Amino acid sequence: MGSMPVRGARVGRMSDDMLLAGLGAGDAQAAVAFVRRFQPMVFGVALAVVSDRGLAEDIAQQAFERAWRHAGLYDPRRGSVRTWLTRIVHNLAVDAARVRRPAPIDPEDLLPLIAAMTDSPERRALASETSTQLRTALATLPAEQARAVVMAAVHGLTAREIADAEHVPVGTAKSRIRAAMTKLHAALPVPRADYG
Amino acid sequence: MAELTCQQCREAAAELALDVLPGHERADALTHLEGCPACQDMVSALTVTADRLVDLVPAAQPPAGFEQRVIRALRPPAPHARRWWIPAAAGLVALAGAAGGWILGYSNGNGAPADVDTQATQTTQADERTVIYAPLTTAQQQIGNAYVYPGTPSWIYLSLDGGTASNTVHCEVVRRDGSAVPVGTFPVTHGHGSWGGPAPVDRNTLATARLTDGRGATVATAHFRSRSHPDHRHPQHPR
Repeated sequence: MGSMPVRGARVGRMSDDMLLAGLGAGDAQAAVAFVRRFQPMVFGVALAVVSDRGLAEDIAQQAFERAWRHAGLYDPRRGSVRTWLTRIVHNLAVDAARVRRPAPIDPEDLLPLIAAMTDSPERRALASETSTQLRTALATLPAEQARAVVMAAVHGLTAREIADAEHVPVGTAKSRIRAAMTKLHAALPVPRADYG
Repeated sequence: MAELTCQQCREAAAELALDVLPGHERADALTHLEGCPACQDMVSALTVTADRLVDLVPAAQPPAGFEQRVIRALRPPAPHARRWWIPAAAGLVALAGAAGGWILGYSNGNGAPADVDTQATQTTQADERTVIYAPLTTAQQQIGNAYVYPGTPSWIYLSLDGGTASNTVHCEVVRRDGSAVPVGTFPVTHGHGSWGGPAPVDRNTLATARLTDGRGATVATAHFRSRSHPDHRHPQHPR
């Protein structure tokens, strides 16, 4: 569950879980508050993946419609509402990008996104400790590993697509993804399974 | 192809967690995972990392009017389409649970489900994850909705969307043994208001949520059915 609301709070101050329950149940005020709260995140993810504001807007709208229709599928034990909604919009955006991607991503085009993901003071001020640690870990990765993991995690590119973009063998792309994920995972303050 | 070894699965785990493993490699890895709890745990942990990576993507303000367009899209179809849409939705368990409020709220014009007995007939295998619903009614009509989540922590959410009164209402949860626990107070303006907050509710003992005015007179009540009647549940299925 997310943080609980203050007693007497208005809809806009309710917990994410409550707003989602209200959205799914058809409460108009909860729907407005839910959209208002999450639209920057939803649109931001869609825009980062497809790099087209018009398409990102369509995808973001689809994400909210899907959240509304499937609010009953949300299981708070498997993650926060924010993570659940992020997965919805990310999956939609990656699917759309795979259909319409005109050319391989230029690795140089990733630099602004990686910079935003690793060094954003206003976001750091509000970020959780986990996010800060992950951001720091991403910033300290070798550049080629950071590009590989962002291409995979954000843009949904396969190792072969990353290899094509970077002009390296597929095995090298796989190694970069694996090495990056190993380091990022090790940086998180959660119980970890032994892998490598 | 022979089944993957744990070492081979480890090598594929990052791509599997990132959901970028090609079809046949993915199938091989999933086959291995079915019988290997250790590798399952490893992939689950990496999936959390992958999700958190996407969380680092910066937010961006959508174009002007986006919010209004989305809200419009979350409304029910036009009345002429409603006749075929309702039975179609009733046949889809998840859609019926998620969209029922809008569909039936539209039918009675106050944004509230009009007949939950015919709508929320789905059942679930995970009672502890269900939101329980009951209409808030006066002696004459439905004026709102009540939702209870009996998890940990448990909470209640109420919305009123009927009548014309402006008042401060008090909410209490009444158990089947008759004991009542005050859980909150919220304002109602011209019949509209909503509130949510922590509430000590247990699925097995919850009977009623009651709203009263400042003089103790009952404004509305929501009667929750006993556990043996699953009709008033809004399920939360595993993803």
